Amino acid sequence: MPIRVVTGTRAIAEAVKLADADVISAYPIRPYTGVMNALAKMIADGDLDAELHVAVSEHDQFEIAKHACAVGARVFTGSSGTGWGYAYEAIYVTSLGMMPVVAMIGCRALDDPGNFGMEHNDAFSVRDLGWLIQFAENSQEAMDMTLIGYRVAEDHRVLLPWVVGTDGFTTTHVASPVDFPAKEQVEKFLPPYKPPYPLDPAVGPITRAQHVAPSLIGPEQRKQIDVAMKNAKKVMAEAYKDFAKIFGRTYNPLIEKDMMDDAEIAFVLMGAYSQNLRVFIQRLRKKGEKVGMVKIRSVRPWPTEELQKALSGVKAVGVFDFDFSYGSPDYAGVIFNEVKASLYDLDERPNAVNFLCAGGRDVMTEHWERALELTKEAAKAKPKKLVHWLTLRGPDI
Amino acid sequence: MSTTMKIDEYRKMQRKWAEGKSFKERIAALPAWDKMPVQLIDFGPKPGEKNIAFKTSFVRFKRPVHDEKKCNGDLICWLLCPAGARIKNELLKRKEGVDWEYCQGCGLCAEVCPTKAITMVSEIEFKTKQKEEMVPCWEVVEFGY
Repeated sequence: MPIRVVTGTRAIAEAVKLADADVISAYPIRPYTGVMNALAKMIADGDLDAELHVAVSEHDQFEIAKHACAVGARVFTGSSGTGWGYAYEAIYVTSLGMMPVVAMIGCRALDDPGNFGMEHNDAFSVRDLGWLIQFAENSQEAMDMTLIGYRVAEDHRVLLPWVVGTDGFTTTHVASPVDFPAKEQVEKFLPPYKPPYPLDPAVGPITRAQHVAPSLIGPEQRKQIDVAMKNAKKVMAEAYKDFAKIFGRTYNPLIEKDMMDDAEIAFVLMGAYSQNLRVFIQRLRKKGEKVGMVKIRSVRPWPTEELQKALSGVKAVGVFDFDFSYGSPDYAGVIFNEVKASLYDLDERPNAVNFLCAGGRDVMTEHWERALELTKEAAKAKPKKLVHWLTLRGPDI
Repeated sequence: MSTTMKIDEYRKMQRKWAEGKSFKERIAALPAWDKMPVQLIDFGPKPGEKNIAFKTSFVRFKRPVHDEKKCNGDLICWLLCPAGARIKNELLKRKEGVDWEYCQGCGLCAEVCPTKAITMVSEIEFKTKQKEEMVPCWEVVEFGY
């Protein structure tokens, strides 16, 4: 299999081509423009037989994706930051109507005008809605996650939309080597999508996304999505197992543990920065420091048991948040509070500190060092200050 | 979660629901979440049949009243009725010819009638035999949203 150096957007576009998507809806926004352009060229060159709809807005774009999915097409779409916010109405109907759309989000700061830094808040805006949110760290993972996404989302036990989270710029625009799978491998891994109830006159007159009268099917409809989310963990495990068998790359579906066997201090984070942190930890390991790292791959479904198992032995946990959640418990980030909630049921809980890297400014070596220092302090005694704005200028109060 | 519910099965359930006499009886006909079909679907009626689960007359504020003497039986109202509430056979016999469970009172039939055989009257006035302004609001509620 050829190894080529491509950007994250290109890798996702190649995955969509390999998955043989039927309908692609697009509206230009960085970094989705990269995927859109690549797919448009593939269609123009005759490499991909799909319909590319360039919508009038993101709202329209996600509506097209949703409706094409209801008819029974294999759909790809995506957006980021503000565009994701504009499409919000269509986005929640997609998940609550159980449409297995696969989307990509190139995480970008929500647009207080002109901020194109990397923040995860746009992806987290859908975290309670039934989307399966995954985070890739490089081009290879982005490609594999897109392929696995179709397999998991379209499984009849799940039928929920899947979003490949990629860090804006650091994953989407930075090129890294990708092992391109062969078409036959993908065909073996990914069966064609068979919707249970397509909008097709041959099946019968069907209404999709009908009026939900709360007294009639309200709670029942919500429960179906809850169970689908619970099933997703099982289906993901199966899909990743098959993926390893066919493509030869093994992933742990929910979290990835790195140097955690004898670690006393653990860092938790997700996205492209895990590459920087991994190098940083490798250097520390050479100095003999017992530091490890847990990378979260799946935000929804959240890996509660897996995190409990991984973090039960450590003394302190430092959680990096590339997002904000103003007024949340401890005024901390999203991931920090989710990690803390997962650790609550442990008998011996490690001390946890939060490093907030909001605003999209790059995290540098000096910041990792400061984080290590603070986490080491937390390992000795219960910390008084839980949340540290690592990249901030001025007093952190 | 059911991904295999068949259309006939669904229609049987729908009929039981529609024919329930009380709200409690209707709810009891609905399936539990694990028997309910996924993806928020609803099967429509068979072609040519009316949707028994959704009767649209609750939005009717005005009612078409048919004048047999003026009617020339051209069936334009039957052809253009958006709710499919005009009944052909009865119209031919120059009767009222309206399915009152589905008539939404849009007034299109009155608009298109070349002989002006249909006039729209207030549903409230028709039901209560009182002037519209004289009907207390709590009695009006049942005629629409």
